[in-house]
Amino acid sequence: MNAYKPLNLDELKSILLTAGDNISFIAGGTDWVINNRFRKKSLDCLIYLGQIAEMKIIEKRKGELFIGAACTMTDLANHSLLNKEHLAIAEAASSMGSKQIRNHATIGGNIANASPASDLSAPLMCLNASVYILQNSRIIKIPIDKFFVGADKTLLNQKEVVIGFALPEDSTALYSHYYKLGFRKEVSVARFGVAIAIKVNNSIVADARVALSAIGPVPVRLPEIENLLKHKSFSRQTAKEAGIILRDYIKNTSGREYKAWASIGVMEDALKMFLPAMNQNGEYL
Amino acid sequence: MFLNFYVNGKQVGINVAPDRRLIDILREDLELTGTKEGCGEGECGSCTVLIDGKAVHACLTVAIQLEGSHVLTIEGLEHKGELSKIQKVFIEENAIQCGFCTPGMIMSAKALLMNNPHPSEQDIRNALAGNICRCSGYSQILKAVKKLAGEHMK
Repeated sequence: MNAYKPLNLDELKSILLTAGDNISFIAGGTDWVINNRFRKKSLDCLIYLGQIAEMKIIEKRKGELFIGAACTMTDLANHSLLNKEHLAIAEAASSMGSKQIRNHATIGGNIANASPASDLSAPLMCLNASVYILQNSRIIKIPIDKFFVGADKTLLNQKEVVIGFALPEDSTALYSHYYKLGFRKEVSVARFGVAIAIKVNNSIVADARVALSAIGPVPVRLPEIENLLKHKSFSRQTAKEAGIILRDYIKNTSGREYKAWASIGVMEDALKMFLPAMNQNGEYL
Repeated sequence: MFLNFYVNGKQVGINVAPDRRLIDILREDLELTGTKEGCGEGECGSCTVLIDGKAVHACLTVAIQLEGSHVLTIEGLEHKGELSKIQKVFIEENAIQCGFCTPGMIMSAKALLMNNPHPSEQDIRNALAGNICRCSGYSQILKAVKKLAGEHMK
């Protein structure tokens, strides 16, 4: 097996031009190493993405926030800009796995592996993120809601690589949180991953975005809940109604009874996260 | 592939398959059997080692990721035959029962205290959340790390 450790995107492009089809990419490796055990045919080529400089950057450029795909969960959880402007991303990263997993697992792997219980998918969906993909030596950009095509399935073809993610400039005006419900508090796989972003003007919710993971094969936006939250004061009273919408959505899709049953409590807890940061008029402190 | 990296401060150069796991390199190639393999899938934390100062699973790390990195294992904590402060406190506080989780538990505590010498109890709980003790000796382990918190480590 040939091993490649490109240090930048140009090196990666050169490797991909000459490599055959029987290749695999590894970044943090926390999923890859487990999946590798079940590989039936040995690989011709393994490419390590964790040292590619352009994929380890988090920075504002051309009006958007770029997050490199090789950034670890620890990088995201500790990043000052994300904690200030995109809290849902930092919270999702810090809720994922254990300290050991967060130190290695990358945002690129979390999205490219497309687990239905991915922690980062809901916050990225909620913030209208885009995915940068290296495809035939070119970088293309697609909306993240087009990226997932099924459980553990994405648009990516054999020799394509997720380079990073972009959060649009308007997402900085939103205040966001990520709420996760698992079987235990720590080191837990999401049974519900709820990302909510809202914007409040004069005590009225001007914009609301709600995305969920772990309730179906792919993460989803729930516009019905978004519309419910908009154009009124932000209050916990709407949480129950939001939970009912979620309950009905689950009943009509996966039909998982225990998740339908938990929906109201999940939405109440998720929306409750916004209260400490607001004053009595519902404005952010 | 030929891998150059550092283990417990010593330079190591070996021929390995790119997908050979660090736990196998440590235990089988380098005969450092202090690091234990429990679940083999990142759930139990018994294989925890430090790479460049961060706690990671040796069972989920492979050779291609290791070039130039500095790996610290439980064997690297003692100095000239004397146990480190953290090892001594684990013994003093009876924070060991069967001992299988102990190397991983100590390495997670080591990573925490290197980065945050004065952790709160919640910081300690978060840092050790990925380490499972099947003897359920968590109270003694927590007590040992709390005792270390605030003390300068050797």
